[in-house]
Amino acid sequence: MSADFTDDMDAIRQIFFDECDEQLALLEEELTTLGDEPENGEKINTIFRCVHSIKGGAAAFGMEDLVKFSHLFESVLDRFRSGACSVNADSVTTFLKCKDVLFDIVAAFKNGACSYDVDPETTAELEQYLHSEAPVIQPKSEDVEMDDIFGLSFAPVKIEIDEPKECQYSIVMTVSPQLYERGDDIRNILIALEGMGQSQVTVDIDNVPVINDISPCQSYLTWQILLVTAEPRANLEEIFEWSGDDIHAVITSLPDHAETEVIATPCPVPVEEKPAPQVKNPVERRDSATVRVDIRRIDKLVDLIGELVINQGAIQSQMRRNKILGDSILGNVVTAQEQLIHELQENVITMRAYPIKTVFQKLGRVVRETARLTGKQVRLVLEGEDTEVDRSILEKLSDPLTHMVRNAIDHGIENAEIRSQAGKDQEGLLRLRAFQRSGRIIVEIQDDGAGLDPDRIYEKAVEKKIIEKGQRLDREEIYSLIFEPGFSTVAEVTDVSGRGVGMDVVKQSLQQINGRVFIISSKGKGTTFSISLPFTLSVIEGIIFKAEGQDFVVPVNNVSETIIYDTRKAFHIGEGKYGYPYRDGYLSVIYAAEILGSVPDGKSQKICFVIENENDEKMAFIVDKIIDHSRFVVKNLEENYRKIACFSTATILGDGNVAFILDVEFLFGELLKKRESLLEEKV
Amino acid sequence: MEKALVFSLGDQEFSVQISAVKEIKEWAKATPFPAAPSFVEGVVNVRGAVIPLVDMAQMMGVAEEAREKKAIIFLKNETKIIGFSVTNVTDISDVDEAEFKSLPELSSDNLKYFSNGIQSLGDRMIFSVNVSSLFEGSLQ
Repeated sequence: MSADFTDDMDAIRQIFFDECDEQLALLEEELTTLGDEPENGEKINTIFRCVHSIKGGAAAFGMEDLVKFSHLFESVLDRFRSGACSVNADSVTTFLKCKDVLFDIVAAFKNGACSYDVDPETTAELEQYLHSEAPVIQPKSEDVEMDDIFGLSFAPVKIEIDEPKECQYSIVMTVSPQLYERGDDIRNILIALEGMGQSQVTVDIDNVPVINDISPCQSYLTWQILLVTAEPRANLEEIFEWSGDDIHAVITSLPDHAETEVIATPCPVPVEEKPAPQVKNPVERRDSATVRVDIRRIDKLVDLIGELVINQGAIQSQMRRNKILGDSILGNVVTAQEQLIHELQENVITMRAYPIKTVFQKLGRVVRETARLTGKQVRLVLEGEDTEVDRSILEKLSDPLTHMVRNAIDHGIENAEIRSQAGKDQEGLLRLRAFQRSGRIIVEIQDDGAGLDPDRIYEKAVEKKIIEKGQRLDREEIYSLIFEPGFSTVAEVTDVSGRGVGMDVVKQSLQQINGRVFIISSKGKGTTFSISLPFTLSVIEGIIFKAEGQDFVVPVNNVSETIIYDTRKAFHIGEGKYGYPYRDGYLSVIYAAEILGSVPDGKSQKICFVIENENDEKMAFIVDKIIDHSRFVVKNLEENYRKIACFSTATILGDGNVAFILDVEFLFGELLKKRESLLEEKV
Repeated sequence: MEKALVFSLGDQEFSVQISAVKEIKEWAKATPFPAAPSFVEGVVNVRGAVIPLVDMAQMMGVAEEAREKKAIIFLKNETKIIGFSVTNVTDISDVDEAEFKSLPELSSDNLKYFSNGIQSLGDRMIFSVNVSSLFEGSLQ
């Protein structure tokens, strides 16, 4: 897991690319909203800074083409910043195009390229801004500034941690005459203090006697210094240490905004702690501090907590074996511990969560390109971009979403002409929305286009032999036909979405991350694809059962009911095929023993799980015994091995043994196979 | 000079480069899974990782009656870790690939595929195992 970077340079480069990704995301965000407030100078400034940071870093790494392009972009932005040009829809489009180019260049360098040829059209488009109108401000010199070359303006590591809190100190200082004898001067101390922060010095002359009593070699003055500094107290004390015993100083920390009189107290006894709630500490103004951590460290943390959960299970199973009751002292401690571990696990899993923004922003580009290719006008609206999703899911979400967005524009949204005929706004609306609902993440892709036409889908499905003519399907079933392999309603293959990759691939890739898709559509008004995703893939809730003497886990969300299996009620429905009554109907039966390669003996099978898949198909899955219901840490089998049939993943039980987690889709696949063999028999 | 871990499968000796060895454990029964290839015993848990266990003697074509399993050697190749059951772990030796002798013509295909050559150590004869082809074979 831990990758040691043998080459430090590689690590630094990686940080630069991470930083670029961040800057590009920010750029995208600012650019998409720039059109709404073209007068907002702060936006242009932010945009400028993003480009500038990328340029600075690129210069430090000698990525010439990136420097060149970002410099040009920056120069153009500078003209907007200075007011020589003003922002309009066209310039925003150009900027977005440039951002995409920047993205491509960065991606090329990230993948090891040494150069990148920028499309001259984009360059020309940019350059025209450089020469438009009378230049008010001299264009920037073509040379890259020195500080850029040394990467000074580029901060390679962005770690925001709490800034040291500023503290107030009161220092009361008296001086022995030896100080002056050694040639030292109290001024040195004052200058040093001055350098640490804001100081306010008062000299107390109360101790100065009347003139007749003055001894010229004595020091009668007391200095009272009020210092506001962010430096730790130790640094403060160090200044006085230099002078040894010659300076007698009493340093007292003060609560914020203590009254000035306090400082004037000759002997600064610790002041009454008067909290000053109305005063805002500068630290509090930061909304949230972040630390950048290598994702592998968090992955490691997730793994370790997984092991903790497994150990916890081991303790509990040992307790049960030794008949230690749950309400004993040990039992209570263990239960409390379990709760803590559970919380710890949830917290660490959220650490690995990313806002869905990262995926949504990439889609901005997809929307622009698709709109350009299809000649349609599309406005993209993003909602709930801050919804957090586990990184492992997010990674696999990008491709299907890209495809669905393309589809929505290509097939869903009509062109301007048809839209105005239908009395709609010429500009199509594409809304991407993410939110949490009952422990799952919902992502919606909504367009206000033509909507799905059930009749046309039905016809097409008959034509493509996906269904038989006359087959009765309800509306939802018809909609879900578009996810069938080989289905495409558009006759000619378009540039955009008709590349032979259909919605079936979308569905498959979503299934890999336990995602489900629902369609809501209304003819003429638009379509909404709603994707429901789990929050994490690393923990599942499951039921552990026994079959053929081995332990297995079935995910709880696939089990709609658990009933006692009565062998006498099972009836023969063909060679090795059985049916079982359930409520007011009958289910097909699959025995756990069958898929494990043996024959059910008809005696040990005692439990029937009613298993359900996302299409609401049900089956009876017969096992020997239920052991427990618990949360299981999911282990990927492909990490060290490869995909295996029946089980997509595994978990580790309290006793340290591995138990496989049943792949419910596989079970339904088995059911299908049985159905097919039945058909063959008929033939 | 590179070092190699020497182990036995039945009465034959084999070696594997030490840099690929992650861990050695006492043999324990693995959790079997259906439709596994005959040489895969199942999967085992090693500190939270699920790792397949492969019967190396079977892969190497060692006579069935001699396939006694006492230890598991965990090897790492690229990102994957696989456990291999062996009869015994004997010692660590210095190896020089230049001194490897090629396998006799009539050796089994498996042996030829999984071995780099034979190293003679006094009167001992040690088959050097090629880790990457061993992994390729195991993942089939």
